[in-house]
Amino acid sequence: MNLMMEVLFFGFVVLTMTGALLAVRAKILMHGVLGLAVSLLGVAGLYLYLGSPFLTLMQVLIYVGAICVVLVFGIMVGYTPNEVAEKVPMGRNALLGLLASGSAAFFLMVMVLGRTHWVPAAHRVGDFSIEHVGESLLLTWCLAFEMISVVLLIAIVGAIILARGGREEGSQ
Amino acid sequence: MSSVLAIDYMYVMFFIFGGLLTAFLPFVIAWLIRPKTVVTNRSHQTYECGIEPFNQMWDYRFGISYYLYALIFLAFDVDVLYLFPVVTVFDRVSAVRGVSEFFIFIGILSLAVIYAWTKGVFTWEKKKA
Amino acid sequence: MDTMQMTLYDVLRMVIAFLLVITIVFINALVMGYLERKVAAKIQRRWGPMEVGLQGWLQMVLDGVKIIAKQLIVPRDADRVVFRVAPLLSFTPVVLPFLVLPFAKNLVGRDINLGLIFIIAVSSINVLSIFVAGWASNNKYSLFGAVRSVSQNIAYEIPILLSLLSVVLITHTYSMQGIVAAQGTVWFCLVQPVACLIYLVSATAETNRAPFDLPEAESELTAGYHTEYSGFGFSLFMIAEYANMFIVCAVATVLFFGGWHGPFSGEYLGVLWFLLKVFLLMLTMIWVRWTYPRVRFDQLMNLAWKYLIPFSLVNLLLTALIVKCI
Repeated sequence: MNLMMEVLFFGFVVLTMTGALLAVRAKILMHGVLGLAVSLLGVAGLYLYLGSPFLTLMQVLIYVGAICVVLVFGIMVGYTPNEVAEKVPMGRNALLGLLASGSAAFFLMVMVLGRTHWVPAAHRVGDFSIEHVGESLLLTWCLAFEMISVVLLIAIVGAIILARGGREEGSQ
Repeated sequence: MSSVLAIDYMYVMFFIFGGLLTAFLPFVIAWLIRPKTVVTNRSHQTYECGIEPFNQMWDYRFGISYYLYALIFLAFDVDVLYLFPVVTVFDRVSAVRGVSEFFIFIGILSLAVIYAWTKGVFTWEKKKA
Repeated sequence: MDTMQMTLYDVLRMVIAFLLVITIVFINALVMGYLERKVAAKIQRRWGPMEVGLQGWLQMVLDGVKIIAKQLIVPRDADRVVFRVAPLLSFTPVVLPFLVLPFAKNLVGRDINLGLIFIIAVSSINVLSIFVAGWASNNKYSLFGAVRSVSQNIAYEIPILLSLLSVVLITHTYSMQGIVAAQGTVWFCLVQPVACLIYLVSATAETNRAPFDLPEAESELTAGYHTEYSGFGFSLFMIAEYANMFIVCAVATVLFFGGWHGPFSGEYLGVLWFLLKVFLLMLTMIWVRWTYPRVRFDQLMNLAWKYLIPFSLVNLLLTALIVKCI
């Protein structure tokens, strides 16, 4: 069964990467959103390995079920696929740039990875149950809990002002 | 990952793959026994009440109202996310504290609906022809 | 990680649970398709299907056979890959919620700790797959239907979530079995009548049923998001839709109508009560469909945002207050 879990883990990694590649390389914008949805589903699967099923379900509910829908509507409101993205040619400069940035990133990673003291996830797993999350929201971090609603209120108000301002200008 | 969670996980994964397979297999059967009828020029046309389709659907744009509704929904959804864990432990906190925190949170949340309402997001203007 | 052992018994149980669920999904579609046609006919003083078998009960089976033998047509202008994947994407998420539905005291696929959230999260994928189907068809009717369906689904998801939360405020658990067990003496439709009503109205809208069936309004959009689908692609959407109906009615049964509780519901016999309640709710949905006229789109959205959401917010607050006062 452990083998099964490993296989599924790498399955999710591949899913995340494929989705991300699809999202970046898509020529039609809607395909990009679908790739993003696939990638987010993969990330949701990875959260499970960190021991938080609640986070997994929320990732599916919020990111796939809500954010992708908002993106989709954003596309429907103001985009036509006639504006197909131009394919960036892979010239020699691009190749050299890729090589340079890739090697720089690699050496930085090696330096950072060598100095970090890694603790396996299994050893630092705390209590990620939904009850624990709820208790810390209500008792320990109650101010943060209330601030969340303020932040979201501001987000909604801002969204309404931005979207409606655009329309009023258009109709005049 | 605990053992219970691992088995839950196996069940869900099995159901996902099984569901995909169950949906896919009949397509194979359908492909095998499909009728090989003559395909005319119009067989693969998109349906448009009998007239020749004009333009791609992708070229059209939708009203901003849809987007606004989606944005408000998104914020609400995230709000409800934080209520999910809170309601399970609501009996463990003292009455005054629990109720007041809950009221403040929902109160601020309701301001969003009130704002959108007064700003007329929910009123649909008649299209000026 | 501690020791994880999955015995042969577990594997067998998993496979059998899956086979049973698939059987339920398909048989539910057959029964509901037949009931819908028959009840509609009775309401409109017609006979309905009468030809095949007694009272035409074989009609849906034959329709199923016929529909598999149909040609699969992909429109020329459609997005070919996405068009083909969309029916699979719409079918898979409706199988998953059956995993956690408690059919009887000892008859549940797997009682996941967060069962209720699991159902909600999985159903939210369904919204996206409907949109994908409509968009990939590149048909005006399909895209209109899909966009309507998505905005309707997201508008009615909030009241559903809020009314679920008011129930969970009482039970303190998301496990489906836990919620059923909490209703041993009194059903929650009596404790939470407002949440129950809000849930039922929103559930009707969630499943795109009349009077909220704008996404597939026959008279204006032909069939909505699945206009372009032929053969089995279409029938997967139909099966998914009926399975969705079953799921929302089952959730309503679990949350508000006592689940498998009833006289003589032992370890397993509760399944009869459960199915009886679910099918009564589904019959009510059919009855409503053929009784009320369709609402207009702005009325539909305003019903959610101006009435259902404020009412469910107030209901949630009152529940929190009352739970603490008792």
